[in-house]
Amino acid sequence: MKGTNLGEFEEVVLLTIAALTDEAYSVAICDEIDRVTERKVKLGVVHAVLNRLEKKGFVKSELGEATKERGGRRKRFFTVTHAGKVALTKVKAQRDELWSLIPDFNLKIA
Amino acid sequence: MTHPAGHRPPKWANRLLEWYCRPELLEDLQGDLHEYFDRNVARMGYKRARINFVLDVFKFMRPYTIKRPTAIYQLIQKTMLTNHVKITFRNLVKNKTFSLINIGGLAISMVICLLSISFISELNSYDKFNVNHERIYRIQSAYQRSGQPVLNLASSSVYTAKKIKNSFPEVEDLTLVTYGFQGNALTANNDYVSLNGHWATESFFNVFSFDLKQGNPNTALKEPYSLILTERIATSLFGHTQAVGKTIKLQNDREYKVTGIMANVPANSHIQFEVLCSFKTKEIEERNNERFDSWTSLFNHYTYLLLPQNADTEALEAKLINLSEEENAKVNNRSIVLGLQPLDKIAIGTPLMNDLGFSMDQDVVFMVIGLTFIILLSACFNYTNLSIARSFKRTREIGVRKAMGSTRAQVSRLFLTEAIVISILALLIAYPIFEVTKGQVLSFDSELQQAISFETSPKLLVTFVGFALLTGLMAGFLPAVFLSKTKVVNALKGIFSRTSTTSSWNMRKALLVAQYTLSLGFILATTISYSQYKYALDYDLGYQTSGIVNVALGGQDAQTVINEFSKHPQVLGISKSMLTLGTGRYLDFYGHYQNSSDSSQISYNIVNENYLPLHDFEFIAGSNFDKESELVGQSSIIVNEVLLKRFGVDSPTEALGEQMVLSGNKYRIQGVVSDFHSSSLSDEIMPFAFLSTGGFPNASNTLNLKISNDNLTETMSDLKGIWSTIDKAAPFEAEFYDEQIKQTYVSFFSIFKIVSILATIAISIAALTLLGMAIYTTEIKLKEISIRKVLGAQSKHLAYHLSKGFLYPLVLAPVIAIPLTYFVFDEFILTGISYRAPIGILELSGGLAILALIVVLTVSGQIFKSVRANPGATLRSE
Repeated sequence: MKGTNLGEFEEVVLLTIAALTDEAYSVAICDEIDRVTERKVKLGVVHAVLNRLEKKGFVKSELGEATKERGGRRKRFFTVTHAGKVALTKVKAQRDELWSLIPDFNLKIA
Repeated sequence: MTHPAGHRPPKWANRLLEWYCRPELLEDLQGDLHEYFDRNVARMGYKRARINFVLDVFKFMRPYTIKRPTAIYQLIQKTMLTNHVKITFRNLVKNKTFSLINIGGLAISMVICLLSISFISELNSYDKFNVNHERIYRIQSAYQRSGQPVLNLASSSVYTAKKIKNSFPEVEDLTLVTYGFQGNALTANNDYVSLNGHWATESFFNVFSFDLKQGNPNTALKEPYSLILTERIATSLFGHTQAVGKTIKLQNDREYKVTGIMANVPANSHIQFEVLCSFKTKEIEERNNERFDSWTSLFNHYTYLLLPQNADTEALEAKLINLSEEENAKVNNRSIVLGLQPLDKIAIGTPLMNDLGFSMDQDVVFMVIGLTFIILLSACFNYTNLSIARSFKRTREIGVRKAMGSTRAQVSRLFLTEAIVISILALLIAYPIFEVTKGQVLSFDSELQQAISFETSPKLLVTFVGFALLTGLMAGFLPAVFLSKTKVVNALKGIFSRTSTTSSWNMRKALLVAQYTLSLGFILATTISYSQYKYALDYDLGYQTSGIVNVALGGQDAQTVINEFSKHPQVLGISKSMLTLGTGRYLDFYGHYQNSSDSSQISYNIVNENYLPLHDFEFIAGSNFDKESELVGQSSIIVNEVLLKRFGVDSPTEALGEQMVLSGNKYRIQGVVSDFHSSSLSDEIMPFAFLSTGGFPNASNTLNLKISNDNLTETMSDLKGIWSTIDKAAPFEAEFYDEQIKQTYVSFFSIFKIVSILATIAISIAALTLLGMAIYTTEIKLKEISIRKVLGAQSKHLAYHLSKGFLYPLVLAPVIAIPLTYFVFDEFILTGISYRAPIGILELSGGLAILALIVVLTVSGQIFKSVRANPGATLRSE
């Protein structure tokens, strides 16, 4: 039963792919995570996660067209699958529920 | 490829990525890395970007990126391997001579390799049985008396140990081992058994992991007069090992209680003992000796620390240095600097003086590894050379293989398989030889014999097999690269591309030069070390040593022994001395001449009036000591010329009757002897003074017996008989003076023996190569020779034509070998030896002549055979 759960970083990557829509390939995903979360992510880590997500069936990928940069190599573009969308929504629902349970004053930043 | 400004990532890294990465991931991953590369070029420059690219390629080697071999690929691999092994064996059988030469050459050198592998792995295993071996450190002391060189000692003082114990909380535990516990114990059947061992503090078993079979490890060494025995010594004392609680009475009439029995000390422990006595005993015995726990009394005690995991050793060393400085401020004229030595660096490490047990200089270990590697390399050259020489015969085979679809990698694999099979066969021959010779090798050196057992463990056997595989790869590498290059079309047509044959011919010549050079180097090393050994033995020390037997008194009263020995008719004279000269040991103190304030280090010996005449010392002024009995309380000395020169005294007669102050006492010069070698030929002649036993009645511990040459063995056994009536426990320790001197130079002799064996091996391998090449050359040129002969060539020209390929390298070899060998000996092996045998033309040219002779003998047989062959027979057979 591989892959009913989403790890924290897996969730971030998956969300980023969804956010980037047509431009979601590894380097762009890296940059986007970098920009939003302000943490340095290694390409190697992102690659490994993408590979894992694809195995779990949350994303699918196809090669794009030949490019001029990248030494002429094609990019692999990722899109979120139905299963991926379901997983994301589920996570969000869980989070929302937890948020709704928190009394107001507990989150006031002193 | 579109990279801005022509900046490209390293090609090889790119290839590596393509090689290991799964095809479905490759394009994307490669693209990503290139994109990052372009960015990095802009951000941190071209060079750094390339480095980063390489790092990234390695970082991406992960389980999910690495190619998995397909089933069909694996199947092909297996089939090809079977095929390669089959072809290998067919080739071995087909070319029996070559197979024998190859396997033989490798096997010979492998014996040496197996020896040094097991030697080094055994050294490496030293002290590793201690569970905490990585955390145990020994305190070492750099000791210096003012104006003298620093002595690096393995020992430290009781004072230091106590100080560390009380004021260094970061040290987890500490044990102090004091060297030299000795005693004779009476057994049940009234024999004496001598007990040898150390004193140790009660925490001994907390630091070390010796196996205490009976007794409590925490308390066994707590009480004074407690003893722990090894099982071996307990058995010889009591006949069994159930001895805890028994008492043992030693010679000094003290009763000791056995508080523990431990397993015999492992052979690979640097501390060796049969008995451990509680340190409290030593403290009680030394209670009146105020120097016992002084800062500078550091020759008998060894401090071992157990540090916590990940301890900061640098901080500890800094603290030790601080402690040293504090203490040094309190004493005059000497300084001690403490340091830490890891337990794992004791058996192989920097040599220290005064070591407790066996230790091997790491430079020697490196030398052993180096020499072994050279020998192995030589055998690999042999293999490479012959394989490439024979390659012509196999070009067609390679052509066919390639035409059928073999890749270059597969052809290379064929040759690697061959080399590995041959190397494993060589191992099968080498291993039994190793088992037989290992005992012989150890007998070179008595110290090694005790320290190394050469036991064959399963782990060692696995190492041997791994080593054989590695050797195969090494030997097969060049042939694989060379032969797999062959082009299909040329091979099938029987055309050898000109460039490849000439380059392989040049390489073979280079290999031959390398082998000649090695052989010549070893021959030279053999002659040099032997002549140094002979030189040292034949050197005129300045006194007579032949016919003199030195007997250790071992605490017996000298006069009693002299009285008994002098009754024997073959004993011509007896003298007493403190030290045996010429064996590398010396005693020294500081002294000065008259009232001069200029003091100097002076070696000395304490002897009686018979000593100088008995050894034929040559007096150049003054006279010998008076009779010992009349000399009591008097203080005459006899000095050598160098001493007078040191203090600027011109004529020996002038010095007679003058006063010298030695170590604070006043002496009168009674005689002057001509210079002699007091220590060994490694040292310069030192200022020397003979003191009389009259002033030091208890100082002599050796008797020098001049005995007549007739019936030597009988005399010796008589003397032994006489000794046993005087001392019932201690054995008769007597040695011929000449033998003792020989022992002093035994290291030269060991070098000579080792080098001569290596020389023999290097030469044998080179000869094997030569033989193989000669057979091959004559075989391939048989037709050419016949045609030349038919056209009228003379035999001598033909012989020259065939042999010049072997002779030219012979001219080149000495040009490399002679300076190299001379340099190695001059810089490394003979440094620190003041009196050296000259290395002459004779030794050098002699070595060359031997090598030339071997070359000519090996090659000429083959050449004459082919020159004398009947051309008609050869040419007709086509």
